[in-house]
Amino acid sequence: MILEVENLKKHYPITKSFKESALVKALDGVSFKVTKQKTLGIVGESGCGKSTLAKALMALETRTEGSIKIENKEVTALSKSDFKSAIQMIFQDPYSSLNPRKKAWQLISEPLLINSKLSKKACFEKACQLMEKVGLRPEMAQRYPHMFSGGQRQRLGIARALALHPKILICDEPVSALDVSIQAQVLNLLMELQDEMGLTYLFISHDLHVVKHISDDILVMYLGKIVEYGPREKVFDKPLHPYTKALIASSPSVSIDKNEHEPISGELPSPLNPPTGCAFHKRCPMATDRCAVDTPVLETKDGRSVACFEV
Amino acid sequence: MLLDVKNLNLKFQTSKGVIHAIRDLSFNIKQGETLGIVGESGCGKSITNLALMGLLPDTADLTADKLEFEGSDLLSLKEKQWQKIRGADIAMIFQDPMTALNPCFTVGYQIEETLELHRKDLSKEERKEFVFELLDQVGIPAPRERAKSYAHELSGGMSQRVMIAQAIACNPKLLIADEPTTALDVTIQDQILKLLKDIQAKNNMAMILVTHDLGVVSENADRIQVMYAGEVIESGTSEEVIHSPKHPYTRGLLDSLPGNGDTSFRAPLSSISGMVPDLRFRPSGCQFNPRCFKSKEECSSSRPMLNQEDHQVSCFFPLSEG
Repeated sequence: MILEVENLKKHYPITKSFKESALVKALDGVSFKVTKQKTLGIVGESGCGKSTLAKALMALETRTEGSIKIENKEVTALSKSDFKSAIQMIFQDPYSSLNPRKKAWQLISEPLLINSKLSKKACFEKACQLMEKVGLRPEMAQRYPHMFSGGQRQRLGIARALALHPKILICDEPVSALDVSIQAQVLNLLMELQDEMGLTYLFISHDLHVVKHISDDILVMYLGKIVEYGPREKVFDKPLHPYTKALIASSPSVSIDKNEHEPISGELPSPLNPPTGCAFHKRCPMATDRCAVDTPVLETKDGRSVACFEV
Repeated sequence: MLLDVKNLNLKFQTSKGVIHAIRDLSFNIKQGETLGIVGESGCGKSITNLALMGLLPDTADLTADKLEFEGSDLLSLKEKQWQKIRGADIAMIFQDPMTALNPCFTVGYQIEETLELHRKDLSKEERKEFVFELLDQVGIPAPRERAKSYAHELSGGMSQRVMIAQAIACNPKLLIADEPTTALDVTIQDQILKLLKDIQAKNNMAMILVTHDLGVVSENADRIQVMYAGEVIESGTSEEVIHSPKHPYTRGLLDSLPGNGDTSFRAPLSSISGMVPDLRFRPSGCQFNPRCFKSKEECSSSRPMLNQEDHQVSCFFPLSEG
């Protein structure tokens, strides 16, 4: 097991003067495991805690509770440089995640300059190698980010994340800002790199088709909690949780058999004032009285875990 | 014919040369029909809409053989005349509902503004009532309270509903939806598309649905036209275009979608090599020829035109059926 997350929680306190402080439970008891060289796809609507999860794993946010283990070692026990070479991240927006005042090679070699004792020249050479690896010509090393297209910028972001040879790469919506034809190129690159370097991916996306294509396991989140978690064939081909079903039905596709379905009503509830019982019960077509009172826990059913009373 | 466009050309004079943003664009829309326009960023989808709304910047140089809405010419309109049509006969929904609404005014006021301009027959009280009715129509719960809220108090889906209420306030004959659901989550996107479809059926309104998402157009449009570098390269019913595309570019776009083509796990996705051309330095001949797998000599020497069949395609070597 390369990555093990147990009962991870991230609560943000909201304090207002003269008022009782409230808690936003952005992550509420998330547990999962990823094996080496596999991909875990994380799906859910905005505000469900996908990005908070990524940030908590990257230690960009301090967690409230829970444990994160990389190769059976608690991350807090790892030294800073060990941690940084264990886990890295690719960001969503290739326009805002690159410093416009740095040249391509400087952007890529920044992690090296900070975390290794390589000379500047060695860093430059390393950056050129990395650029070649992600499909950019090394001549481009002296260019600034604005001289690259969106797809090329995303490749720069990938090269930068790979600089320290991480074992785990968190991809936070890496292709959602790109056009379809470019999206395919970047996805192909990610798959090739995974095979070549033995990377483990945590792939966050709202596009179910993309997640289905490259993920071994799928984790469906709703309001900070896991609602369904299991292998891709199980979750996609025979979804059990009504939310997973709704997500799959509502994602538009170009297939011949048009799916006639009624959209599910309502919106993601406010995390400041979550509904009692199951967080999904107000939008759920299968909800019963019990759903409004009790909170379902994850149970193993038909080869995957699902949190619902009605399945 | 509700809208008839023939050989529309749009150029921008810039310090770095002339950008020919739209080249010989021709299409038409019938009453009650949905036309889907797809293409990658920079292919001229959005600027076409702005041209149809009369919202082009001053630097734009617009020429056309014909640009008619309900038989009357739009090209010669003065700004005052545009103001009568805009919002009344042709309305538009923008991509990002969070920035398209004015943060300084209540949403109710912003909808009322449209009515105040175009529905002079209504009194102030009637207008207020009508706003509540509209908000109710687009599925906003408790419309009377919601009308008093500001844009930041609403979620993305709710804001987009307000935008739709504003757009349909004067019962337009043509609604231009420019990426109406791109900023929204899938379940909300589903709700909004359903709402647009219902309103369209009720008011017999024509709609131009612009998006980069092929899934959205294939499920919601009657006809689809595919744009590339400011030109229409393929046009036909959504079945024809999605399931038997004739242009190599359309084929390439469809094949690069995960979940289409080779759907097996982790199969390499086919992608279109290269990039969209810089519109200042257009390639000669067919605009797609540098990226096309079927490209021959003829493609770079002369320019293909849209053929005049039902399923139009501008290619010398169109793909055969199946």
